[in-house]
Amino acid sequence: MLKVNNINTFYGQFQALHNVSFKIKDGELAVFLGSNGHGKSTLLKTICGLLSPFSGQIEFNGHLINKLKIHNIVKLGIVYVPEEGHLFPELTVKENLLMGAYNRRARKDRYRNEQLVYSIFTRLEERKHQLASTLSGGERQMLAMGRGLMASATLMAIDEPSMGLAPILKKSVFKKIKQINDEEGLTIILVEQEVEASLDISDKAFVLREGKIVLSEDSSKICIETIQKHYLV
Amino acid sequence: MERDKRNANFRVQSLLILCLAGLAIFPAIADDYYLHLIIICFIWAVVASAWNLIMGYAGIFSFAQLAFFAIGAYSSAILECYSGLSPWLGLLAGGIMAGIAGFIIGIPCFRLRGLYIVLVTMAFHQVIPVFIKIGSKWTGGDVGMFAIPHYSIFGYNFGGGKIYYYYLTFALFLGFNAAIYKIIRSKIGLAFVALRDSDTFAESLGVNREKYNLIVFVISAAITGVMGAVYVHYLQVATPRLLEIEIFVGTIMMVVIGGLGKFPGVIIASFLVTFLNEFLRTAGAIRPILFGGIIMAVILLVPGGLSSLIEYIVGYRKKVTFSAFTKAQLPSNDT
Amino acid sequence: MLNSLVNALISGIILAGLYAVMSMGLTLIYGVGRIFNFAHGFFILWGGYLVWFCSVKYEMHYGLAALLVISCAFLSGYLIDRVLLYPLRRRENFAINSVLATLGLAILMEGSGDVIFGTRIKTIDKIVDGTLIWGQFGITYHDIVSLGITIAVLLALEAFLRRSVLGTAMRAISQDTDGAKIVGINVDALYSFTFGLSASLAAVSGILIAPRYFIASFVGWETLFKAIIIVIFGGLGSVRGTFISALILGMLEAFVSMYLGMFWVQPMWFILLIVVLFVRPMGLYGEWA
Repeated sequence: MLKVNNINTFYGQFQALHNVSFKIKDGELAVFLGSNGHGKSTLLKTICGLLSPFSGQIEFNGHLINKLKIHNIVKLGIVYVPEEGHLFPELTVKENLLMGAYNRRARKDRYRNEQLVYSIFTRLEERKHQLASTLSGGERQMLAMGRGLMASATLMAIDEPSMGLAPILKKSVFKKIKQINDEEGLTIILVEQEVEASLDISDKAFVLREGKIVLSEDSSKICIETIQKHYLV
Repeated sequence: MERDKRNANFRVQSLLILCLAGLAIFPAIADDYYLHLIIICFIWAVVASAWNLIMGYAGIFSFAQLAFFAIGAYSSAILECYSGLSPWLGLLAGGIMAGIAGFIIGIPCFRLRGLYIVLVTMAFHQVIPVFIKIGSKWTGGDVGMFAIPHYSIFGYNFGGGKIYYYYLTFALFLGFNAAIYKIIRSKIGLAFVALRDSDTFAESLGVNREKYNLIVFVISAAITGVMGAVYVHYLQVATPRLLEIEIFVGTIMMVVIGGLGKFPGVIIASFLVTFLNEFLRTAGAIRPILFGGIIMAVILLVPGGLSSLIEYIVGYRKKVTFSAFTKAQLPSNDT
Repeated sequence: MLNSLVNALISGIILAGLYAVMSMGLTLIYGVGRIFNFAHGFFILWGGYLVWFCSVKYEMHYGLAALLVISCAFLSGYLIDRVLLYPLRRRENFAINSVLATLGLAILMEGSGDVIFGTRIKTIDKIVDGTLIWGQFGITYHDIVSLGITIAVLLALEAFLRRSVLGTAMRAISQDTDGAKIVGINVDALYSFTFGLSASLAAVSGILIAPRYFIASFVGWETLFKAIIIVIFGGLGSVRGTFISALILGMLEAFVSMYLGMFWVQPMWFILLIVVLFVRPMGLYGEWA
């Protein structure tokens, strides 16, 4: 249960988010669409704690998290899978996953989570002892998501997971995200550019333009033309 | 807001004129002891100001400034003692030699990352005493050089009274600080602020960082070298003790207390530190404890140093940044 | 001929171990916290000061004194990071601020050392007396113990960094700080922990160095310079680099000392510094210039 209320985030003097508000229910898969530079990544970073909002509140399962440090937010159950992955290049796949389970709650579920990750992303198990820097782009994306899964979180925020991947891999990524949402019951907030595929798997969709939400609707009720209108206008 | 700024500017200018006038007539009312102190203040104020230009504005963490001071000092002293030329040429020689040294050190420095510049310049500072020792036939080695001749103008030998050096150093103080101020306000200065705030962007606009870095580095080295020359001619002694940690600490304190990267504070801080040094001369080991503590406290608590205090008093700002915990995310209203 | 070679080798290994422990703290705190601790030499010196204070002035058992000193070092390191560096991190210009702040700290520690312990140069006895003679070669028992301790410390450190969660977290922070925050690592707490660890390592080396050298203020700067050279040569921030660098340079110093004489040791370090900074500033295992 995520409640975002009127948050404004700045980069120095530049305002990236203007009074953004929305609600996400447990188990939902929500997607944020919009052109680059319009605030999608900033929104995720603000929710997970990498950035601090200048004003506004973020409430997660009853806790106010907008003033918390990241590691405390992770402890509460939100995990962020960034676009660049931010993997640890000189650590092995296994070590990266281990780090994913750093927070106290996830520590005891470490082995179970690791097996879960391997079952969803089989390629990672083969490369268990390889350094993260030796993985291909698609494998890195898998590792990033796998690492996110290790955190025993209830909400996962994923930033452009299909970016830069070949079409086959893109399809696979969306399939796996849907799988995670269905099977593990994880609430997922997705930021994406792939409009069709995102609408396919998501329950709710938002469009961000210049840091403001301009569209907020059930995914089933939207058609591509509406989205495109909001992108271009 | 504009009116506030104009008022503030007016206040600053009038204060400045008052202080300068005061300094100009100071010899009329002060005795030799205080004249001596102020002379030393003038000299170090320029050195600290030049160091502030390099570290604060250009963002180059150089620890070599005192090495340039020593190079200027020894160049002038050696020139004087071994040739019969006028001491004024020594002044020039000091500046030129220091400038050349700045050029030589500067070139490799600017290909390196910030931290490495610290280490290279520190190494340079450590190497100078070695050279002094190696050339002890000319430099007098550890013992140093004595009886360095005074300047003279129109037949008046500067040894005749403190007043000569007073006005000489005052003139250099005014001249060099004005020059530094002009540099800061000029195109070069703006280039540095741009480089400091966002170097890749500035470089994409064609601002050649290496060139500007080198220019400023050489200029501040030369200025410092000139002051070094004046210093040893005034005291008539040149020793490797110029490079000792105590002088280093004192000078860097001036830069830190004055507020890194801000102009007026460093001058007041130099006067302050010189006086502090003088009054604590007998305190012995308390000094490093105090100075180290002050440096840490200023960096931690009042990073803008004296400059931000001045800006507050003069009405330029609404409040002094005392907080050690300013959030980087918030839009800052007082840049 | 063989005699001096073997003696140089033995000296070299002992020096290498000492230098490795001495410099490891500096490289750790840079790799993890991106701080260049100018006060590092004084952490080393204070290790010597305190163990002298405890065992000579208070006649405490040497081992007990050492333990006490190391724990104090850890605590002080932790607190110093928390009080001095944590606020600086949240502001801009951290690099230069941390350099100046640690410089101020170094000056403070130098002065307080002189005031608290007096400026008279102190010496401390070796841990054990006696020499082990084997044919033509000799090695003091103290050196054997010293070597044993340094090897143990280095192995323990390696195991800690590779196997433990905390150690892996430290490595993670040094590789991608944002990534570390994202997975929920409390980076601030770990920065302080690393500083404490760095201080402890410095204290250990100070305890080992004190009996074979002096305890006086200038040691604070001397050890800093040597540590700087070792760390740069190996690659700032690289544990493996520091280790190999200490090995090479320790050996080098032993051989220079044996074959060229003690006089050339100081110049050797100088020349090394200049050469490294101008030829390959990133060192053996560093990644950037």
